[in-house]
Amino acid sequence: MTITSVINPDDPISLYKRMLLIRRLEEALIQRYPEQEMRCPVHFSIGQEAIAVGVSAFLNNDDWVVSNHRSHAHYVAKGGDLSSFVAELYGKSAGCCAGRGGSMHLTDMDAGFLAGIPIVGSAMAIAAGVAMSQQRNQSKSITAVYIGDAAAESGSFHETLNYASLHNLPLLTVCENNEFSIFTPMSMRQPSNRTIADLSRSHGIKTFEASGDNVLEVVEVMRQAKNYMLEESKPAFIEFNTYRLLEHCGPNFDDDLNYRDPKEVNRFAIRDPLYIMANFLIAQNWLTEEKMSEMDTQLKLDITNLIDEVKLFDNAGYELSDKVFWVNL
Amino acid sequence: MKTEMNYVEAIKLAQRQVLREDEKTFILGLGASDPKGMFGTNLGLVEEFGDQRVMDAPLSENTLTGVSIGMAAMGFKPILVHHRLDFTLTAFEQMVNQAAKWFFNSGGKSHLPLLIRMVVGRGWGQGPTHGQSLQTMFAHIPGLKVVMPATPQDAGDMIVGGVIDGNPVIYIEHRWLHGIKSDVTQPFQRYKIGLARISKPGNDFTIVANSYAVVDSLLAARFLENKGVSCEVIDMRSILPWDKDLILKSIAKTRRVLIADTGHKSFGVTGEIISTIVEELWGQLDGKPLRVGFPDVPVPSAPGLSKDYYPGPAEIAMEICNSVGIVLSAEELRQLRGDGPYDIPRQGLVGPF
Repeated sequence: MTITSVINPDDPISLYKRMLLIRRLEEALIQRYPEQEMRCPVHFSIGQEAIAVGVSAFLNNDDWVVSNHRSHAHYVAKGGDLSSFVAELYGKSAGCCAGRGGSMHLTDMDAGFLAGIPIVGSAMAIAAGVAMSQQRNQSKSITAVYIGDAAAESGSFHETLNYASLHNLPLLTVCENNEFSIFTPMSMRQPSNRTIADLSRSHGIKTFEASGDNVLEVVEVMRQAKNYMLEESKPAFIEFNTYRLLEHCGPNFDDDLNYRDPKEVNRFAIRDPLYIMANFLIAQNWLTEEKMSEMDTQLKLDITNLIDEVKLFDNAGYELSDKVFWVNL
Repeated sequence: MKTEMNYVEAIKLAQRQVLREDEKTFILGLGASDPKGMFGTNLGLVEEFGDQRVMDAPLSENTLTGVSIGMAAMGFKPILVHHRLDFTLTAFEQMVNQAAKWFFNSGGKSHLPLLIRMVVGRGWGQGPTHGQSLQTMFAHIPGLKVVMPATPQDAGDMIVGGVIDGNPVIYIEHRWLHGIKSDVTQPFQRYKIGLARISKPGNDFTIVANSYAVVDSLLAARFLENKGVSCEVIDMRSILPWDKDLILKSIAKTRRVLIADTGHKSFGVTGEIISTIVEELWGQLDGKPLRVGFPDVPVPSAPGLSKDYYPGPAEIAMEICNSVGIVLSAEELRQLRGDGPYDIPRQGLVGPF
């Protein structure tokens, strides 16, 4: 199964389709995770798909993405190869990291998805370097780096924004604020008298804020940010408010632990990016429920076939040699 | 073409050579283009290549390392510079988790041509956080390479070799080597990382040393020659990987060995080499392996504390003499220690070596 459709910011159906692909793919992985054949930690993106799709709608193949530990949506939205993604989770030698990295180290250089960097904040610095290479090459491309709210507590966040601002790097920082770092809420991590967006502004960076629930809103703010970056040749920052439906790491719900307000959890049903977009498409008569369900059935079938196929691939084999960690030039 | 020059000059000319040869190469770091030019090693480069190729930078070691990784992943060849090794500890995240794992994590599809220069301080009260020689910490990490040039020729050749190696290379220079002189052949040639060298051949005792300890060892060997002990001094040059073949071959020949390292004695280079000797040459030695390194105490600052902190030629010679049953006189030890100020490189130590 390969991604053939292109995300077009002006085509809501294309946006919906890619979000649905991410959701259904992750749901299929969640369903199979208890089989214990995917033996690596997984951080699912359910609830955060609209941001990845809306951002990627404005990224070309020569624009780079650097991501974090919760990278599935970013990877699929950027057009990363699905087979090598699933193979990586299953520990296959055909995985995108040859089975060496697992879910937290996805890469697809051909698709412009450089790397998942799970040490929070560190992706920003590497992305700034990629952006500096684009500036040196005088290309019109940009680098987008995805971070979570907790990255703003790391030194790398400030060092990188300072550096990107100083050198006007074509770096777009996309902050997905889901309010939690594992279980720890914002109130225990950051002062309430300023926002993450404020921190970015104080580094002299053009900063936007938006809801990450509705992909059409994501598209609009991303359009502004991208235009600003190209016209001004400067970095930009977007803080999205979003919601992580599942536990920090793993396929389960963890709300029995009572770390989140149950009202917030229940509210997901109406802030779910897929729900919002499906309602919109039906209300606008872009798609019928029948057509949608047909699309869904086909997608689920394709995904089942993809996973079944990947499970037959060869497992990555052990190699104790410096050839795996040093290039020999 | 052979020219006599010091270590600083060699680094400068080698950097100039790689900057001229490959436009993807650039230097980055706080003070990279400042008026003192990194102890003179970068002097004149910004004038020739401009501020995009010799880039001064904010005090953000960790992020500058990440920026270098991003640039290297895109085909650039950064030379990241640090005035002191100790400051690179704030960049351990990027060096250890990111740079060292880059090729591995990418499934072998992306590699990093990245050279990271750092200087070990010594003398004039450098103290606990400006005088550490932590090659061991870097050498513990699969994916990094670690070199420690001891001569001007190596200082230059390792710049060339480090830039084109394709892997993240930690290049540790010692402040007291900066003034060392010798004849240098130009253009600088690629040093293939991992090769040690016999600095002085001998038959009775092998001394394995690195960085400034090579100088100490050569002085000790010169002295011991007059006492009838012929020492083979091996300059490790590369700590990771280290040249097991050459080093073990020499020890198998002399059947006696001392390891001299510029780092702390415990859990370090000396211990690693002796472990390997035990594993590979069990029962083949005529005496127990010896080692000389920094005491297991933070580097002190005050004269009264640091005067006796650093081991030198006297300690190396003494260990060897004790081992082979030669008695040293107080006068001989005094000679080996020298009588100049203890906290600047001694006049007798500038070479040529």
